[in-house]
Parts: sequence; structure tokens; C-alpha cells
Amino acid sequence: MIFGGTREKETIMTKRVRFFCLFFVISLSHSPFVFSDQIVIDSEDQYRFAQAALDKGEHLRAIAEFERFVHFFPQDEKVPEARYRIGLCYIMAKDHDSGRRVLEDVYMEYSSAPAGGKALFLIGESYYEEGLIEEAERYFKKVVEAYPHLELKNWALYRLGWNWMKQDKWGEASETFMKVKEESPLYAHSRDLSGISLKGEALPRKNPTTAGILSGILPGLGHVYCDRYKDGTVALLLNGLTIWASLEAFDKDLDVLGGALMFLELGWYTGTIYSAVNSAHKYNRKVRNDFRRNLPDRINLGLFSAMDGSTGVALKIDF
Amino acid sequence: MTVSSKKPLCLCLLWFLIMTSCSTATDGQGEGSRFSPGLQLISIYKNHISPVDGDRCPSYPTCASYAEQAFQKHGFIMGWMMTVDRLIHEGNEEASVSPFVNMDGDVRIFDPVENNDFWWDSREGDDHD
Repeated sequence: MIFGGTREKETIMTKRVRFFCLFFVISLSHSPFVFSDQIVIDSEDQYRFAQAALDKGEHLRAIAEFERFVHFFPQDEKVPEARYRIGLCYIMAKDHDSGRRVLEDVYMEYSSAPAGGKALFLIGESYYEEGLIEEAERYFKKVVEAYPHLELKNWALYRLGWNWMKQDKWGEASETFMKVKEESPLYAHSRDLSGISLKGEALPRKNPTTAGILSGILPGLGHVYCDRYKDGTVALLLNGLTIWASLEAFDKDLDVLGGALMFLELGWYTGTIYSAVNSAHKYNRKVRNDFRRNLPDRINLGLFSAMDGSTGVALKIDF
Repeated sequence: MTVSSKKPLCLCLLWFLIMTSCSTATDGQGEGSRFSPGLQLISIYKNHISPVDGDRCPSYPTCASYAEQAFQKHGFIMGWMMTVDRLIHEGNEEASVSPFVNMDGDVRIFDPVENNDFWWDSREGDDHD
């Protein structure tokens, strides 16, 4: 009895131990704290994530995510597009120099791919954004020559037209807008701009030389010519009073004072002429800038992030 | 006053003009270290007159700062001419051709040196942004 009872107890104990062991193993295998979920990010996910950051306007984060994509998936076919977008992000973040450096590399490596062409155009656009129109022109012309069969050529022609307008070359602008092909989404707008740009030639203009000569004849007259009547009056009084004071001083044999006043007047006089010439230039700039500002521009940097990489170029325009 | 007595005075003025114009022109970096009467005059104005007179300039930079920059960038003669230009045009009429800038809640006409020498390098008829 004693022996039989002990064996039975051992059997019960063994069963309990086995049960607890089994329970422990099962519990562990279902515990979220011990084995966390694992995810696998493929190239498509990573690219989409980077693009989402770009769409949100988080340019610096988008740069990091596109660089992660290039680092982990160097053989992926979207690498040229990702690198192009890194350059785009820099430009959208107003770091034009870094953006252009990245895009130059993209163009050099993938000049035969759509990303290379877009990179070249975007370098020009970057210069255009910064107001460096001569550099911009060089790149847009390069796009026209290198990619004659892509829609990019029409974009470049459109931008060249704007470039001419910024240089007040209205005739050249009109001709260039006319070169945009009919199949381009920019065609209708380019035709409109071709007509409107010619009106730039008829914009009012003040001749700086005339303004300077008028102010030389009578201080302040050049300002009146530039529609700045108060400035003209101030200039006339300033010069008139100083000349009068100087003559009075010489009249009363106060030669040193007279000389000092004459010296001062020399400064007023030349300054007044400079001011009249400057006023004419500012007037011309204002009139032309206002004219250009009222013309709608169909290309902006936002469009570049919406371009479909697989087809090379796709244009989305909100009219 | 005789012609002979006026001669030395004119020569002195001419000498002063030439010397000062040669002494201050820099490459636009404001690194002129030689004697500069234009900058000295502005320094006196900024340190002793302006604090008493108060800040009433409607433009940014203020006329004294503008003159300082103009002298540093273009030397005495052109700096002087540009300063006179600024003093003449600082009124309301400038607001029609120059943008505004918000300086700590104070709206002023944005009229730096670059706004008044932008046409120096451009071809005739080119008045760009």
C-alpha cells in the first residue's frame, strides 16, 4: 500500500509537471511581449513611403526616405527616379545648390532615361526660380536639343518663352511660345501667351537718359518726367537752396563757406541726376513686372513631384 | 573774390574728392580698412545724432545704414550720389515701385542698395527683377 501509494503520487506529480511545462510553452508562444511581429518592407513600400513624405511637403524627410530606398534597393528600376526626386526635394526645400548637384549626377548617369531628361529640365527650372535666367536658358535649350521627342521639349520651349519675357524680349518670347506642339497640354496656353507677350512691346517706358538730362537742366525735372512730383519738388528745393546759400556766401566774401556749400551742391546735383535715372529704371521695372505677374504660369515645382516616373513625363495641370 | 584766390580752394576740393573716392571702394564685402570720410560722417550721425533724433526712416534699411552700405560697396562718389538719391526718394512715391517689408510689426519700404544699382550691369532697356 505504501509502495503503491508512492508510485501513484509520482505519476500525478509527473503529469502536473508535464501539464505546467506544456502550458508554459503554449503561453510563451502566444505572448506578444516575447516575440514581436516582423514586417518586410519591399522596394515598392519604401518608395511609396518616401513619396508620401514628399506629397506632404516634408522635403527633408522625403530626401532621407528616398536615400534609404536607393541604399537598400540599389538594383531597383526606380532608382533613377528616386535620385531625381531627391534633387527635386532639395530644390523644393530651397537648397538649390544641393539640388542641382544631385540632378547633374542623375543627368550624367541616366541621360538616355526619362529621369535624366527631367533632371536636366529641373536644373534649368531651379536657375529660373532663382532669377538666373541666362543659366536657365542654357539648360532649357539643352533639353530642346537632347529630348526632341519627349513632352519635356514643349516644357522647355514654354519656359524659354518666359525667359525671353523676363528679358523684355517680347518678339522672341512670342515666337518661342508658338513652337510648342499641338499635342502638348501646354499648347493652348502657349498660343495665348504668344499673343499677349507682344503687348509687352507697347508697355509705357521712361527713358533713363531723358530723365537724367532733364534733371541736369533743372534739378527735379527728371523726377517729374517719371511721375514723381513730390520727389521732383524736394530735389528742386534742395538744389535751389544750396545754390542760393552758396552764392550768398561768395557774395559776402565767405569763400570757405561758399566753397563748402558748392561742394555740397555738387553732391546734391549729381545725386539728383542719379536719382532721376534710377527713378526711370524703377518705373520701367515696375511696369514690366506687373505685366508679367498678371500672366498665369502653368509650370510650377509641385507638378514635378506629380510626374509619373514609369512613363517619363505626364503633365497634370489644373486650369 | 579774384580768380587766383579761388584756384587753391577749387584744387583742395578736387583733391579731397579724388582722394576720398579712391579710398573707400571695396568689392562689396565692406572690408575697406583705410580712412573713409563718408563712413566717418555716417558713424558720427549713427552714434550721436540718430539716438537723439529717433528712428523715423520709412525705409529698410534706414538711410544711415543704406548710406554706409553704399559707401562700402561703391566708394565715396557713387556712395554719395546714391545717398542723395535715397534722401530724395524716401517718401511715399517710392512705395509705388518698391515692395514692403515687415520689421518687427513695423511695415517699411524695402529699399536696399541692390534696389538702386540693379540696372548698372544690365543692357539698355533691361530692367529686371
